[in-house]
Amino acid sequence: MGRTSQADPALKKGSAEMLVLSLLEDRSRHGYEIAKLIERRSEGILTFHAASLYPLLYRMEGRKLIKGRWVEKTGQRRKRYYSMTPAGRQALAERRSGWNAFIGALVRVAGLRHA
Amino acid sequence: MRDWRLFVRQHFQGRQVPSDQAIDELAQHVEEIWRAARDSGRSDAEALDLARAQLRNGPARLPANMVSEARQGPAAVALAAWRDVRHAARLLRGRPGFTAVAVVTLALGIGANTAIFSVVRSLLLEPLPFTDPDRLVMLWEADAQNPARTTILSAPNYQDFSKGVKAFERTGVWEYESFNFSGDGEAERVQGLRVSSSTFQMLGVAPALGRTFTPEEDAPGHDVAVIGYGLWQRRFGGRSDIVGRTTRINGKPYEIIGVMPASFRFPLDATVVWTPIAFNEEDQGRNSHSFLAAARLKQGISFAAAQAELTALARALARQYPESNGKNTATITPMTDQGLQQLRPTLLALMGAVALVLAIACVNVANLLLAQSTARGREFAIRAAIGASRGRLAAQMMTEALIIAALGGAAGVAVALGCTRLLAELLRGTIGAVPFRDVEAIHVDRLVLAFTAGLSLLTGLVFGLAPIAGLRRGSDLKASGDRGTTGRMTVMRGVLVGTEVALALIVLVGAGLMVKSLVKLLRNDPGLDPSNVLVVTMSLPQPDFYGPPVRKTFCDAVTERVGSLPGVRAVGAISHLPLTGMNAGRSFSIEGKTPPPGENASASYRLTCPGYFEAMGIRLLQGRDFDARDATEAPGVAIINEATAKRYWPGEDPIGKRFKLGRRESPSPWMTVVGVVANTRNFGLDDDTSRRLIFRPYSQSAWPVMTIVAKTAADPAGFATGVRSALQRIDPDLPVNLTTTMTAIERASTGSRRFPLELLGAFGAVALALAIVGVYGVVSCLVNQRTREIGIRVALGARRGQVMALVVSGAMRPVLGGIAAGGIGAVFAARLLGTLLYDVQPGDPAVLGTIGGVLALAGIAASLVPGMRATRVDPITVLRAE
Repeated sequence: MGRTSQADPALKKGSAEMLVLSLLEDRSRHGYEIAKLIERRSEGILTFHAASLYPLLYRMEGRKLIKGRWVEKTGQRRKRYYSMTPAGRQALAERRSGWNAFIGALVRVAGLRHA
Repeated sequence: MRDWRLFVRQHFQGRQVPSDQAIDELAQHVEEIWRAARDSGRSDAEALDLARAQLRNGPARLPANMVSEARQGPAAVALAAWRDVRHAARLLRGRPGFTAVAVVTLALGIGANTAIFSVVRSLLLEPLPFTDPDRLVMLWEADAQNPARTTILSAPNYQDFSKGVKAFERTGVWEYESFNFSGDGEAERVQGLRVSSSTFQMLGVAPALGRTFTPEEDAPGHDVAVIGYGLWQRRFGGRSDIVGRTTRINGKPYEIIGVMPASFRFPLDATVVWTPIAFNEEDQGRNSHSFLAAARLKQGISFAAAQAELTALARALARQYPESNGKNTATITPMTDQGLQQLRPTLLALMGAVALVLAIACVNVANLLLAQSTARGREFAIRAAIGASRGRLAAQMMTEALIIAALGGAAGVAVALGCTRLLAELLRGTIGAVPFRDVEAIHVDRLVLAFTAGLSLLTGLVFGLAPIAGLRRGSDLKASGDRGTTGRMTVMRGVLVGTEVALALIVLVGAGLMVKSLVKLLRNDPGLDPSNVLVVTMSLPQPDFYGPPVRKTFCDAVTERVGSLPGVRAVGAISHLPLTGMNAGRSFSIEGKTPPPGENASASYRLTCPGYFEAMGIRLLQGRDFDARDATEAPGVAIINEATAKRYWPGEDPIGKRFKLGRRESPSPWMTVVGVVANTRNFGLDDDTSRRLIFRPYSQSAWPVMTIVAKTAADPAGFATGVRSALQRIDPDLPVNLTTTMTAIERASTGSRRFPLELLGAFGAVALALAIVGVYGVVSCLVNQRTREIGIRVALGARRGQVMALVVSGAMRPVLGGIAAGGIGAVFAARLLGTLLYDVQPGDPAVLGTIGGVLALAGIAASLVPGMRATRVDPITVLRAE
């Protein structure tokens, strides 16, 4: 999409599940909302197109990390909201500590600044 | 509003298709993207580009839970199928009219097929009720030049074949006889056989009670009889001490030694008494062809090998006995084919006809489904839009088709159960009995049901494909909702209507040709007047055939006792009744004429009582009928028919001319011709009239079975009891039986044609009705679809006549095309009727023209009602609706 500064695909792929899980930590969200939030909070560095986001969501749902269900709100179109399962919560915790350790190592070794 | 689901679906075209739910989510997502872009001031094209980009660069494989369920494992497929069934059932319940028409249409087609198949199964496919019937063959003598022309055997030839052919494990020989059964209760005439003891062993059928004949009993002088199960039940009340009882057969005491089982038909239902073959002096001539014979082939011997051996032996006999056998050979035919020569082509033609009827039914239902799928265009468009793949929609439609077919099949079985009984009745009333087989036993059994199930499935697949084909073509279906596919659907329905009309034409032409055959047959003058003629057969034991009568006063007694009954206008009797095929022939020598070498004068020979010609309405052309002058001792007299007069006394007055039976030198007395009568047809209405006949008075030449004919003033059935009891009083010991009417006999003589005619007529009527329904349905639909166009035309000033012409001509295009195509098909299909046709060509232009005209009129009639509706279209309403 012509953006100049985008995340390395390999990094993005490795972190995608954690990003989704972390967004669902407090509340359930629908797919578009997830994509927008990732894009906004990463200031455009991380973007997910529908074509890769939904396969990711379905794959996570298949592994019981998240759960989707259709919700109809008055005056709105029904939407599919995803929420985190206990397994997802546990997975998020593991990923976080993994990534923390990894980033800590990068900071120490490569002299990165903590964001 | 843009259809975002379609937008997504198009993107996944040719790849793994996401499930309906995933498509929904993706559609919402891209729509939000598009909306956000528009809100930020981008153009629609730019916004669409952004939306499209959202769908690019997905993973090569979607996770299993995101994929359309049709692409999943067997359990999911089964679930989807079950969902289809429930959905289809719901849809069909919601359209009871459509469902009823489709099911009834199919039930007629499938039921007719099932019924005909049940006859085919019982009569053509069922093995004969004998042990190892495949090894049983009929044995014939035949013309060496043309072995297809077979005759029955002489006793000496049979004995030589029986001993000489090693391929035969066992042989049997028999001759038809009828017997006077008396002694216990009323005397009656029954049909039976003289039969060799080996016959029962050859067939491999054991008696239900007692025994069959021993080889010793094949010799003359053993008065023993085996009786049929039916006779045992009827005449002897099924009493268990029947074996060993003595009864009177032909006036002589016979010991009953056995009872055959109920299933034993040899050869016919009516055959109920078997006596030993007891070959006598008269049977010993090699020229005396009187016997039917059969053989069981040894295990492992082929038909061809047996035939080859038999042919070689026949050739040897021809050399040994050139006088009698010089021109003859011998052949075998499968016993299972016996009596089916006429019936097999009839049944095959009928199978063809019912198959066509079913095809028409399929086309009709396909048309209905097509109309439905057009009407349901919006439903399909929506379903397609929310992600139903073509496969899913096709599966859905096929499920509906198969459910309709299954319902049609089930209703068809009910139709068949009723039809099968009617068919058995019809078969018995027209064709009569079939050798060795039980016409009554025609029934729907497991094999027939399997046939029906297979047929239903096939029909479902056939008519289910048409709307699916329409769906496949209609990629525009999804986009256009209501009207997109109408053009193609219309073409397709036109083709279906054309097909239907063509098929109906073929069936109707078949029926038409049969009707014309029968009309031609019935137009044949039988040479007699069958109306109000009562027919009663009576047995008169007579040791010396053609000799002076034992009962000299028989004719007088008949005239006196029956002739005096009120309402009896004339009465007489004859040995061989016309139209029945009964026959006897004699050669004779004419006084003063020398026949060319090798050719003797000959004619069929009949014995009559005075009054016969008058009672039968046979015109006396010259001279007189027999009367009291022609007593047994008086000089011999004869009456000849026109054909005999023309052949032997051309240009002369035959009255007063003399001839004698046999050679000129024979001691038989000269007979003087005293009368000439009109020609009659002997074997049935399709027989020619050139058969030569000689009539002699019963008083001078007697015969053991006489048929009394009485012309009555009113319906002869009402006189049956009176005439029978009058005859009974002549001699209480003589059996009086077979009471019928000449009209019934005339009818029976056309039976082999009336059977297929009546059925083809019925099928033709069904085909016509279905075709009319089909045309009506299509035209109705067409009018509905073109309401707007018609409205505009009316608004622009089209007159009612023009609108009507528009509709009718639109309907007639496929109808006329179908008539043309069907006409060509009918000419070929009618050849199947072959020998069933009488004096009519398969391509008879009158029949083709008439049927074509009928169908064209039916097409016009069917399109008139929707045409009327079209003329009432109100342009204002139509245009406002837009």
